[in-house]
Amino acid sequence: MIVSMRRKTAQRALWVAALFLVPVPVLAFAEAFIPTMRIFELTLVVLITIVVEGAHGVALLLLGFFAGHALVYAAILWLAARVVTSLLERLSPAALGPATVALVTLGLLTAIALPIYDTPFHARLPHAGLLEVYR
Amino acid sequence: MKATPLVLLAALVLAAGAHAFERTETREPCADFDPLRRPFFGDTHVHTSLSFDAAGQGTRAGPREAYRFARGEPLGIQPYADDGSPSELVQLRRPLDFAMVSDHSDLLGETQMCATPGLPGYDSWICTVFRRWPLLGYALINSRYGMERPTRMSFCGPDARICLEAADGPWKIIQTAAEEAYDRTASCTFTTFVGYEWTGMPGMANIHRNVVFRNERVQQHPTTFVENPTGELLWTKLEEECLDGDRGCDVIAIPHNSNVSKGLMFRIENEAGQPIDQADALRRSKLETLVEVTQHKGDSECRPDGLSRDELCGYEKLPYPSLDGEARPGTQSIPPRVHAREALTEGLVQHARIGANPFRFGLIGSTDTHLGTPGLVDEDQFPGHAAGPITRRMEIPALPDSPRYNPGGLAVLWAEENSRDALFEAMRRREAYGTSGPRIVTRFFGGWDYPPDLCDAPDLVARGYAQGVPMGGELGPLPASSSKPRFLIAGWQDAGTADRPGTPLERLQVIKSWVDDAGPHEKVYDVARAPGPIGTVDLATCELGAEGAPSLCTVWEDPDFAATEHAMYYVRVVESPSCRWLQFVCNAKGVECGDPTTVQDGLEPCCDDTSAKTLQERAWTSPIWYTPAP
Repeated sequence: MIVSMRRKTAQRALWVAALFLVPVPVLAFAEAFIPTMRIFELTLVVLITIVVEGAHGVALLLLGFFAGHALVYAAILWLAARVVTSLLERLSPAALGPATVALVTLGLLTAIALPIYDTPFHARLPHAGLLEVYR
Repeated sequence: MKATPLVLLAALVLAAGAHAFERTETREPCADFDPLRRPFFGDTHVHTSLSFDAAGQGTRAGPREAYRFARGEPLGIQPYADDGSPSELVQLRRPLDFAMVSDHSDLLGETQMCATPGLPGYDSWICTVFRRWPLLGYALINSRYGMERPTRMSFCGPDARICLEAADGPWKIIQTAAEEAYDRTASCTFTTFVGYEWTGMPGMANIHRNVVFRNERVQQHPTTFVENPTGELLWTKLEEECLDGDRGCDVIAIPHNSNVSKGLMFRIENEAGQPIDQADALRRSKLETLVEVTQHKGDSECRPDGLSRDELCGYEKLPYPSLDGEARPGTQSIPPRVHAREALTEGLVQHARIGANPFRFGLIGSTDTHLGTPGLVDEDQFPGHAAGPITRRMEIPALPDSPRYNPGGLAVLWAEENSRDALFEAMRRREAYGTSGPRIVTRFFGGWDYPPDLCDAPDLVARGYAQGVPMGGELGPLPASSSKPRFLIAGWQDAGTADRPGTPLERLQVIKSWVDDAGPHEKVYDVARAPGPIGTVDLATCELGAEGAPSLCTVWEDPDFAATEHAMYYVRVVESPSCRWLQFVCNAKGVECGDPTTVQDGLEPCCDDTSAKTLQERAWTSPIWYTPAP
């Protein structure tokens, strides 16, 4: 089956996959390599905590810290997806769809098979694959 | 032994003194009773799974398991496999004589509620966060309690009643475990104390105190920082509910980690912001007879740039003065009075000013383990202390802890027998000392007319008591027959075990503080040294050199004594150099700094210049004070 895909669709698919799959470093608080979506999740957790318990202690600091990380990485990954899409399109416009699917599949399989994440935010599994990192 | 009249008198005095400590509990007398007192080694600072931060690090050992460990049984520690098996077994080479589980009174209820399905609060958002994202939950909750005005979680209710009542369960567990582990038979093999840690940390300044109860009669509820946010309020609670109350409990409080107190541990203003007065000083010196001078979060003895040129002061120093310093190193200067010696010296200044010394305390060490492993102090056995995000044990780490931290030390009490009353009285009269881990034995007596050859006398201890006072005491008035005090100072190296012999001693030192018209002064005297060169250690194997002495003893006379000046003396017993825990870990992991391929991720401190690889273990005695006639 040949998958045809427009450039914008391919770019969005790669970006979303990168948000969920690509481990990015957390630069302070705790050494970690986790997906950007995981940082968005932590941002949400802190935000809900502030709503429920109030902005005590380092809650606001953590909110800004996680939100900042998440937004910066989302932007970087957007640019990266754009660059990759351009490269693939230049190589062969017809192969854009299959190449995108192949890349996402490869990333998915790698993230599932290997413990590529280092996540001290997890309760039990510091080194985790994709199936554990969001558990 | 020649029984001189003096020695006979000493024996009589001590025999009378043997019954000086009041028996306040029902128990068999100890079969092994020594009127000249023996050193008992223990740990008064132990956290278990009942402490919020320990639980957040995956610690499963409760108070019962901690006491079993202290008595010599092995203990499995985290991380645990899915089937519950631990990743590592730890065990003391030698059991302790006594221990106290000192879980945090703050968050005692919340920790239980977050961990126990069905309890109120279990399904709350913040408990869910704590269970699912422990590190994040720790940061959110701990920092809230580290604010200037901490508040309870919303699920505690407006008056915190729900959480305070939930703390009753773990408080009962702590008491029951202490009772079960306490040997009330004539064998007197092991003593426990009921206690807790009042966890004051306003603005991340550590003003924690470990509260120690004399016997099974204790407060109904442990006092908490949130509801009683100053040291003075803690003392008020202890006075109202114990010393002056009808519960019949007797109690002291032991400050620790003044090194990260931002200078708030030894304040010279009272709660009202006024300079402390005589009543304040007497109150403090009655309740706080000891200070924990060393533990895993560093040494609190002395200030490297202090009044004295103390070449050995750099031992296990943290380069910051607050609990959050590890997260932002280099941003804070060290304020005054964060170290015990500074406070001891300031106490003399205050004594001269108001007629009482607020900082009349003795010194001990302990671990502050958060793994439920009291007394696990050997450098080659350090599993980390497991408190806080830096020392997480969610995985088996490359290094078990921050290179700045250490295994902690031991508390040593000179007592007639191993029972609660005898040990508590030793704490109260400050006849105690701390070690950085090894079981060094040291005697320190002060008097006016010890003969210079007293070290050669077989009855030196009896004469030490008969002709003077032991560590923790007051020299008393200068007699007409003398012009300078003399001190009997003796140290014996840790005897060690068959597989790990102790390290010989390098020297004995006297640290003196005094106050004259020009202000406070400190001076360090080397009073006895092992013959030969300073000891060495082979870093590749951690084998010790042969240098050092198995024991040292001297009678030292203060050459700078002035009868009109307040003074304080304590002794430091210093071992020859040996490997620090970091070097043991690096060697075990095969690190060779000349070969970068052996330096795996996380092991970089093995080869940097800023992390100490060797140390000189030591003991610090409680002081002996001199007060001039008014």
